[in-house]
Amino acid sequence: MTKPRTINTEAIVLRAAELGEADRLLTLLTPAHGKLHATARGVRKTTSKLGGHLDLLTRSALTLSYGNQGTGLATVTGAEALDSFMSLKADLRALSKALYLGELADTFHPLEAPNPPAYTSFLEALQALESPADHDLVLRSFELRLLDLCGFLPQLARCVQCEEPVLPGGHFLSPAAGGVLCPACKPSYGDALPISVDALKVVRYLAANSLSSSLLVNVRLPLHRELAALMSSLLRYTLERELRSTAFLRAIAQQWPKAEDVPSRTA
Amino acid sequence: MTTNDFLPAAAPVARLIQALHKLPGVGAKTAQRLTYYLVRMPEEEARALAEAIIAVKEQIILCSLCQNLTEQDPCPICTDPTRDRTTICVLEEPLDVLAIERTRCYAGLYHVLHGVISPMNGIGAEELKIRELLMRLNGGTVQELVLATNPNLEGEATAMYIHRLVSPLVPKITRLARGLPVGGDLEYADLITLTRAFQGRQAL
Repeated sequence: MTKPRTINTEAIVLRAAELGEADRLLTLLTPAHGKLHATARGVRKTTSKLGGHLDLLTRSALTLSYGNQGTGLATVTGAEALDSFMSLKADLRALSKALYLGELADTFHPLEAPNPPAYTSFLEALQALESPADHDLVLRSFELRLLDLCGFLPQLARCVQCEEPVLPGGHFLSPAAGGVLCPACKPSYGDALPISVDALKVVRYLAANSLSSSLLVNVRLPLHRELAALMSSLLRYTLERELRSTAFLRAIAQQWPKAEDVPSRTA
Repeated sequence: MTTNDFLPAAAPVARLIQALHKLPGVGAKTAQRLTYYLVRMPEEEARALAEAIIAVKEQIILCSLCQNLTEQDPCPICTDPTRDRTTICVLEEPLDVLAIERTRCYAGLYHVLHGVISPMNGIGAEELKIRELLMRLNGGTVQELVLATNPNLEGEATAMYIHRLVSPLVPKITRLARGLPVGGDLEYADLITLTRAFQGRQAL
């Protein structure tokens, strides 16, 4: 079936690479068409009418045009910003987290595979990073929701090996096994990490609930650290590599551990 | 793309196509067109082009102060006694220096970062010339730092990062104004540009 020559869609800009003299090649996440590539012509010129609507991590209403047969790379022929996430972009800590989420979304979504709940989940996470919510919890919730919506969520209720229900204490999470292991089954998997009861409860809750419900959970710093290490291990195994933006995320968190350490805007 | 992809062409031709294809913005077809143009070019012109490329590689170095491309170290701008040595303008690329010099409205010094923080592409602060900037600022003579990175997300992130690092070292840190471009239409302006234009409005 041939595609329509023009589509109107909402989209969030995930990536923007320089192309030719003044163009950009965009990676867009849309609710109904999934992840798309599109060229934006002349947007690097200061007089471009579209440029400001197509910056990274901007949600815009777009018109995308295809060739005669509805094939080939789309060209952005119209754009109007719906949400530029200005306060997020003016806060270096929040921005480092948003860029990490953007790379995560880009990596997990194959081209032209619509996943409307995953789009909504990404949008809600960006909006939450603009609020005074627990931003680390936003990251953990989005990671688990994305794993769930893309079919990679580990088994959390029963031991993935012996299928016995998980009881409090002494359990492990193995990315290779694809879930939680009881102490008896742990020796079969060398990558298994110990997981505390509180961490397992939080992971289960975040995976099963919306972001707004997840943000009601009160997580203390040691538990945050455990959750971050567990999720990092899980994502690294699933993607078979470390996300590039994690280095910047960690550098900002280490250099300026408190929110008030980072200026909200340049002078 | 390998030399084998251009097998119908003679080996030197295929090698040149492959070399040109590595340049930014040059696709396979453009590389082929440029190659066949060069084949037909008079020998002395082709030789002059080759010598110009080699001269750039052999003679151009980075200025040890501003990190701009130069033939001599320090560069003519850094050694110019008429320039204001208390102001440094921070830019992403050497081409940005030319753009600002063309305006003739700035008489201070420059510092070229050679890139911008781009976490999704694995480019962090340590890949840029930020350490060299901090060394220049440690002297204590600089009174104003103008952050003139591009007004997009990665340029803003780089400006915010540098602002945080250098704020104890420089009394005044400024950012180039952002607003409506000359010749633009208000109705096409995006939310951020229009907001910044309002924030930066000036009395007549």
